[in-house]
Amino acid sequence: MKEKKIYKTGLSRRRFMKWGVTVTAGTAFSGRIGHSGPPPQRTAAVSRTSLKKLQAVTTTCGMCPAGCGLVAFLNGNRLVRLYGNNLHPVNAGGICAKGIAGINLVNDPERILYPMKRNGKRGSGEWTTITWDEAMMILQERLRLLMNEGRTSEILVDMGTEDPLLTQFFSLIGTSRLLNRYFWNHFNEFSAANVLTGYSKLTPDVTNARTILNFGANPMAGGEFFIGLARRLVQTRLENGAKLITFDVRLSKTAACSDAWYPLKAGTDGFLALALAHVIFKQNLADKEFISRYTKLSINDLSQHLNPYSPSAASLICGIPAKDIEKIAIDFAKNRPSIAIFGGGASDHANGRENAKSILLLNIILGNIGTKGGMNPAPIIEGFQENNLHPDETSRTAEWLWNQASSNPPSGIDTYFSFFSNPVFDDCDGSSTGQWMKSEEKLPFLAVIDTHMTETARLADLFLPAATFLESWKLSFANTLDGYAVVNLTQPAVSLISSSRTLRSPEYSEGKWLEHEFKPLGEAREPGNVCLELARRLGGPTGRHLPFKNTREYVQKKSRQLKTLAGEKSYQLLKDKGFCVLEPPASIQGKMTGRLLPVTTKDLPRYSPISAHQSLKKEEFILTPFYSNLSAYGTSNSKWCREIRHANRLWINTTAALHLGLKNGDKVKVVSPVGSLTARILLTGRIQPQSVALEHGLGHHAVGRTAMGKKFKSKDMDTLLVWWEKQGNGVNPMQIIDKKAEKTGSGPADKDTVIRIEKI
Amino acid sequence: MKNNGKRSSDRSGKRYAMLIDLRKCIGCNACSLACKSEYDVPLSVFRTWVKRVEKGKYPYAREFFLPIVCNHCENPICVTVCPVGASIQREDGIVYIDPHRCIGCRYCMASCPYGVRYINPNLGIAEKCTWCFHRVDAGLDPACIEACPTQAMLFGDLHDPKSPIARAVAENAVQVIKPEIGTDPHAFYIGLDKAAVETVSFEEEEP
Repeated sequence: MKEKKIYKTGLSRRRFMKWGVTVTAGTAFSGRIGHSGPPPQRTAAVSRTSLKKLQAVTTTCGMCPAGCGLVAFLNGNRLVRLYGNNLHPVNAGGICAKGIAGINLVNDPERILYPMKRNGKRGSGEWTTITWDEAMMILQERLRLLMNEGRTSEILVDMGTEDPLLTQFFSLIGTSRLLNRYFWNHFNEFSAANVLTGYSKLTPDVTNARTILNFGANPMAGGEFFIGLARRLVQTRLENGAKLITFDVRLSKTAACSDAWYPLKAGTDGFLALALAHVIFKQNLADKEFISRYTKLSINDLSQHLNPYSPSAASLICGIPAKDIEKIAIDFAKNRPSIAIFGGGASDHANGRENAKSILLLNIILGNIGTKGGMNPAPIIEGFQENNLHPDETSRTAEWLWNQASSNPPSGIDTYFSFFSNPVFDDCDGSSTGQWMKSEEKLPFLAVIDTHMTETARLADLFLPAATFLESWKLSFANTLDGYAVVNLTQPAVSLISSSRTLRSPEYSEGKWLEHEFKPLGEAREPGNVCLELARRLGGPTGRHLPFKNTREYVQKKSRQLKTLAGEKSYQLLKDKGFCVLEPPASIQGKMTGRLLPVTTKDLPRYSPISAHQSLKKEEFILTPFYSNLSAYGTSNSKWCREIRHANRLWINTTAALHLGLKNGDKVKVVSPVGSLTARILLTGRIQPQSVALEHGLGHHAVGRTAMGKKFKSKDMDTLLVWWEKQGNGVNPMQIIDKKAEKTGSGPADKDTVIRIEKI
Repeated sequence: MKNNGKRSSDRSGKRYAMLIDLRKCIGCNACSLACKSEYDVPLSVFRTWVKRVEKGKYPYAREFFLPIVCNHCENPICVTVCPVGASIQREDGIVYIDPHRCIGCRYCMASCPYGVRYINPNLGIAEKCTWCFHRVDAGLDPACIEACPTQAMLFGDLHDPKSPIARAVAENAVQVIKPEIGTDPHAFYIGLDKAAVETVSFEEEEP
């Protein structure tokens, strides 16, 4: 019980009830927080031809975990525009390119809209289109067999996006192997935060900070907060004069928008953070009152612990001049409130958890935890969050899966369900995962629910067409940064069943009349609806616990739980505005100060060097894969995104390349312990000389012809205009990244692989 | 819609302008995609795009993002040169192309110093950024501004001293691209780097 509580923010049911009444009041305050001027108008759009206002549907973006509010505009029954919801507290009307690319995701001519069964060998690409009834029968029989034989632990559920219904359904039938990709990707951060502060998920209050140190996070291009954090960083820098300093191996978009960029050697963020802490202690600038009041640490122990981490040692290890480190540390301690934020650049290493802990320690010694302008626990509403999956569970599953994939049969997995996940492409050393999935002995059954024929789906036994987020019902939490909880509603915006579509439908000829509402395109279905249908078919306790007709009813009933507190209107409110605010602002900020942080002396972070990085030869580099906001999941086959970013080049420091005799644009062979690839190089000053960087998300050999950079004829005229055919579609860095987990926290360590560059 | 490439010079009417604060731009390309969706712009051409430029040597390298839109010049060369009067400047300064008149001769494309015009590969006529006048006439902001996640872009009537854009232009040091040509562009920038304008974007660079 105690263990479980760690993952909540201490908001009891009683307090939740108390705040429930503010649901309606809370929404009046929203939108462009911190912006003076008139209150925001509702987002609107007009038709270019008729000049009439377009029909608007408020919903939530599903392209990344940030949870921005969207307004979808329909012209007739066709989705034509997506804009940000002006009233939404996360994005305040803004939207990123990835969000707009949702239009491409829905209207993509290469989307698979019918359930299919594999015909030939795995990966042969021979399919038979089947009906949903047949598909359900296959799944139902499979699950029933496993349940009867008590082998439900052999089911693995791989979830690329969070869905409470999925988690609930598979927990009910007794599956313990649930792999939540979001948890897995952030596991090092979560576990570090949990050890030091007792909360897994912390949110940075950058709006009120005056000095912001950023260790390897890239909120300007993605991440769990993305637009919410990016716009606040921009705003606080310009309007409040805050300083943003970024430490990263490459000049990320965030580094480009920072006041200063300090390139450091990959995986040494922890040493740098400890060196900054060292200076703060030496200069007697630490918040000793906070440390003695809210932690069990003694000042002496701390100071002694930090002793070896001197700026001069750091300059040798990290490559940042000692003078600069001292200056930054003093600035950071004096120019308060200050905050140190971190991301994958710091934590996706073999020593990633210690790095994250070191950075959090920097916050603790200055008392930046649970304060205005500091790190605050993310608000979670108890009794509402269905997805109470423990991050530890995900981490165990992911590591176990890696071992399974590399071990010889017998494998411990019988059935693999992949929901919007593409491990063959996205996982480290994906080709070995692919090899494993290809073997019917090792993996007897693979079912994939996705919108496109991804690399993983090509190997599937059963492919189920999924509805996109623009065709689904869902209730979720937004990753807010202002300390109050926001519930988002995802509701379908395509495709509206018009009268003409009804008349054309096969149901009509059978004498049935389609209801005037939204239905996903083709025969696509929401994964939640698939689970509900399976629960109905399986019956028993599973069926009893999920007695919902469809996701819409589930969402309605769930939001009625809010209604009991807010009155009858909460569902209407959600439907109308797309979100509702559950807490008044400034309620959580400073909340944690009354609580002792669980950190003890033995938890204090230590820097341990990554052995493979210590003796790099001239032609050896550390490979850093990175995301841009145009190449993330869901945009792989988006024509607009691929047009801007279709091929990737290997970033290499100009000086380092000259030593190897390489010119800009040369083709090189990149060899890693697990494989090799050929890439063109980009000579740049934007990367640390010991690292090379390659964008992730490109180099597909499935998904669709737009993703593969091929012209083809379809109902969309644009598909014939794919002009980057000759330039190729890039390479996938994950193919050559070693499957290595973090040493102690066992999260991913995918920014560690040492590669060798060979001239061709 | 009578026009000879000249509009009345008095300041009584509206004069639309755009201001792009480059200190706020995070180079996310939302403006390019919003524009694509607003106009169904075909692949291979853009009305709005973000130029990315690298400047300086390691470790002092910087990256600049430069969103490009049509400047809707006060003295638009494209309007002057159009042989059929298809390029039209409205009273409020917006320059647009009448698709029914355009013959696709590309004279305007050649004359535009900013390279914002293109030939639509499906229709064979010239097109460009119109500052979304259909939205502006309906009292809305252009699509790129609606989408911008960091509110780096501002649009409004420069002749109305109370409008946010008039104030922002008055209060800040603003720059325009290629002022020396004398076209009097009306897409203003804050923090425009001269090198960013002149250099080719590193992505367009051929080896």
